[in-house]
Amino acid sequence: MLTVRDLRVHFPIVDGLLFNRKVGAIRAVDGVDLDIAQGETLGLVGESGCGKSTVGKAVIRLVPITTGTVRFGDIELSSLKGSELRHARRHVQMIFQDPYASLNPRQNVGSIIAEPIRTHDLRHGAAVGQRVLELLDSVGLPRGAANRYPHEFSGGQRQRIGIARALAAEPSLIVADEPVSALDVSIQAQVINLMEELQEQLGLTILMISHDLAVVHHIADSVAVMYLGGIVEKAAAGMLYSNPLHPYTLALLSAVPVPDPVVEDQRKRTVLQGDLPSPANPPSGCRFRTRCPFAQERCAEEQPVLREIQPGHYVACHFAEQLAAERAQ
Amino acid sequence: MATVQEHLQSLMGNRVVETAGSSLTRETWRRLRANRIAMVGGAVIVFFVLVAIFAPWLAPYDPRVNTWFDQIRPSSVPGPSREHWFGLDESGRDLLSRIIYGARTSLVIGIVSLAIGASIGAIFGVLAGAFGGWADSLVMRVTDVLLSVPSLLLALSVAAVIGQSQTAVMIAVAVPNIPLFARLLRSSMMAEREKDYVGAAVSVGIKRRPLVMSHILPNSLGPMIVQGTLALATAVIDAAALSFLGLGSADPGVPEWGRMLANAQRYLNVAPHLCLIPGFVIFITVLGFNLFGESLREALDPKLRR
Amino acid sequence: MNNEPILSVNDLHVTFQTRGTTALRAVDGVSFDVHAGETLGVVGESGSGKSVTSLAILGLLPKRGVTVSGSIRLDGKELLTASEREMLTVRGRRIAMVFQDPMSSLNPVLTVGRQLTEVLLRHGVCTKRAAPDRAADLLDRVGIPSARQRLGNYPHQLSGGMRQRVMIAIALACEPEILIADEPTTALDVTIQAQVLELLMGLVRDSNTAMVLITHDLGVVAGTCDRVHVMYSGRIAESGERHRLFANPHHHYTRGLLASVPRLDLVGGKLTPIPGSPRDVIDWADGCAFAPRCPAVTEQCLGVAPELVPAANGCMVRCVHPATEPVSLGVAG
Repeated sequence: MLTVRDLRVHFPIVDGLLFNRKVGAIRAVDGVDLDIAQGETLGLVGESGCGKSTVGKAVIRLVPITTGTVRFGDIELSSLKGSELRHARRHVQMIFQDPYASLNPRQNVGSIIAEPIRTHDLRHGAAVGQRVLELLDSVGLPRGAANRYPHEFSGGQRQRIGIARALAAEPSLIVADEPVSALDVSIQAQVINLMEELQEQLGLTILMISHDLAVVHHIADSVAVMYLGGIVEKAAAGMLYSNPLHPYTLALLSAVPVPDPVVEDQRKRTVLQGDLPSPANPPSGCRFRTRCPFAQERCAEEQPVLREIQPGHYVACHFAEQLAAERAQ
Repeated sequence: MATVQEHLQSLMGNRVVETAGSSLTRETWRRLRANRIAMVGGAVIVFFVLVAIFAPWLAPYDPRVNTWFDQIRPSSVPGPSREHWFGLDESGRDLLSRIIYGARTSLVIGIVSLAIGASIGAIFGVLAGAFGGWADSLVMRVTDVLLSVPSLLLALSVAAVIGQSQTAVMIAVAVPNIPLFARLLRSSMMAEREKDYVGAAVSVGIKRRPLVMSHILPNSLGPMIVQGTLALATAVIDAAALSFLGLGSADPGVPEWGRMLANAQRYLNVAPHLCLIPGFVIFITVLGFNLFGESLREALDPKLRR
Repeated sequence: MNNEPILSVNDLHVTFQTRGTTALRAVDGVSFDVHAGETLGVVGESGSGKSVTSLAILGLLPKRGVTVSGSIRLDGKELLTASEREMLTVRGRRIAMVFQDPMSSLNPVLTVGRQLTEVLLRHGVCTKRAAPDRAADLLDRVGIPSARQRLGNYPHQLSGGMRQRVMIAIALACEPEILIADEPTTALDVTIQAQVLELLMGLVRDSNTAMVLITHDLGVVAGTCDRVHVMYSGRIAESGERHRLFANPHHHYTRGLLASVPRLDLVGGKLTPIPGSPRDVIDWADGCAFAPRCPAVTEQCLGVAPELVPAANGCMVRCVHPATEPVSLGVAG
């Protein structure tokens, strides 16, 4: 359903006295390929600065795409303009991270949810109000919420409003950008469950962007791991978590704390050294080599390509097979 | 189980009382009402406005009538008395009536000038904030030019061209407000544009006009409203200052606080009430606007909301 | 390990009240001890009062609108009644704190070296001449490469992980007896979090410093703390040694938390969220604050607040009918 090919998003760095000249670029997304089948959830994980949020925003055309294509069904989203783009937007909607900033404080909830319906002429007259109430029901909010304003609600409730708004346009693809990161732990599960239910009911395709590996583990069918603008590993969720092949994925998984002291005590952690390089000046060759415990000469010279090491399991590392073999011993 | 739930409901009901459907405007109003300083400032403003509107009914005499001219001596001007609560001015007119009617003049000058300046400025600001790019650069250069003209010089030039009149003063007060509001609204809008809810509206697919009018603009008005209240205070002072310098209406009979101050200079030792009273009235009015404006800024501050 | 606690908090109450609003009982009767060299975890969500407790210990709460009562004894000395001058000798020297957001807790206009030497000199730990060496030494201990050069850096020139390390260095500069870390890794990426936690654990182990680790992350607590207190709505709901607590939590809130957190090591199974939100509470005076959200609520839970009593698993629990069966989780993946 969603096909992304060689997506690049470069933000120019400008400088100059009178006229702004481009002196460099922040390569936030630097060659990303994704495929999501209909009704499935792809989890896009990575730490800050890896570009995952930018990928999400690029897919729904909230940031300009430098090069690359985004195809949704038979619509080529990346090349649309003007009113064509606006009409196509209803098929791909976004759930935002910050429940406090993503709702217009001056609009009441009913009006927020009705806006996509009205913009795309999905209902008319009294049917609009009816649909708003239906959507409130489907996200577990009381019907009286329609007359209230966002600031009267808690974070978890606001996130539900955001979900209702995203669903109002009757999209086929939802990009969820860190939908639960800003919520309390006990509320996160509520929203995750809600999303899963809705996906099942409505047959939604979801691109789930998150830094929380445990959440993605729970909800995603397949997972792609990003580092500094590129994908380093991609596989079905079960495969990735049980058999990670890229050194970054290994480090990432070993760093996630588990709420079980027995498991924690026995864990062997691969702790990465150093810090993330600047996206304006990424390392030559493999972007991860400055922190990789297994880096060799070849890693500095040649950028590894994402290749299929095992069926359905893609890794961007020159030595993926060797490392896997060593680990097996 | 039903009784436990009911018991719980009643206990929870005791704790929080939510006002249903309270919009941000209502919230702001509620906060203002709770703030004593805001209420004092607001009361002063309301008083000032009412005095200006009901001047003909409130003033005991006609402000232009100088029947009591015979009571004026070079070294003595009658002060407050039972017939004339504020005394007489240097031309033999009732000071109280002149102060009351002066409120009208100041109000008209202040509000009209401000309204014109703010509106033009707002239009520029919206163009810059909504379109960005070349529109933004153009607006910025225009405001740069406007800002570099000293308002006093502008007043003198306008007066030189169209002659001494109230209109000249109004133009001189209006023009410096244009770049002020243009910049304010522009920066407000640019800040709001980056916020998530605007991104959400774009991703929903709404057109540019509803995006600006329903989403960006309403949330950008806060600083403008505050600035408007404070700018009104400045407008009153500026108008008074320009009149003081002799740039106002050519008609010497028109009651205007600044002009009254100017005329009273000669009598400072002999009849201080001629300076003190208009000066005090200007001070109180401006203070009221400032207090209210500051409190409004606090009440509108989104950080206090969460 | 000495059995006498170095820090003893007893019946701490912190109430916020501004004119025109109802009083907010942020901390509503909290008591716990901290022993030398141990790592204590305080777990809670927003509204639990965990951060306010730590601020109360260090006397960092605002003076106006805040009422603090109870007792906080550091080695027998009462901190709540101590004068500001006495508190100045405690803060940084005997009890140090690491905050969540290193960008706002480090002074952006002072160099890192200056902030470190400031602390050293303030508490008379070394002479002015020796201070830069000590500072470089500290940066080295927290794992910052090229420590000498880094002394001249400003906070914005460092990454988030490095800034947090600097914060830790400042906190440990005077070798305090207790380190309070309030969500020290929440704002950091998970690989950096692992680095910083490893660092913290190593440092407190080497110097036998006691650490109070405040967090909402159960995983962090499971891997680092000796004992755990779970806070809810201003009181401790359950506390105990970490293995016992995690293996068989008795309080329904703790169980709810564990059941609602997605885990990396388990596959499948639905998450069981706790219904409602942390705002759905009743006053402890009216009964158990967790009652509106508790799956096992009964009439006994209302009317009077439950006391903190010993539970079957060796922990303390504040519940009139705590759960007793061990929690069954999903399949190990």
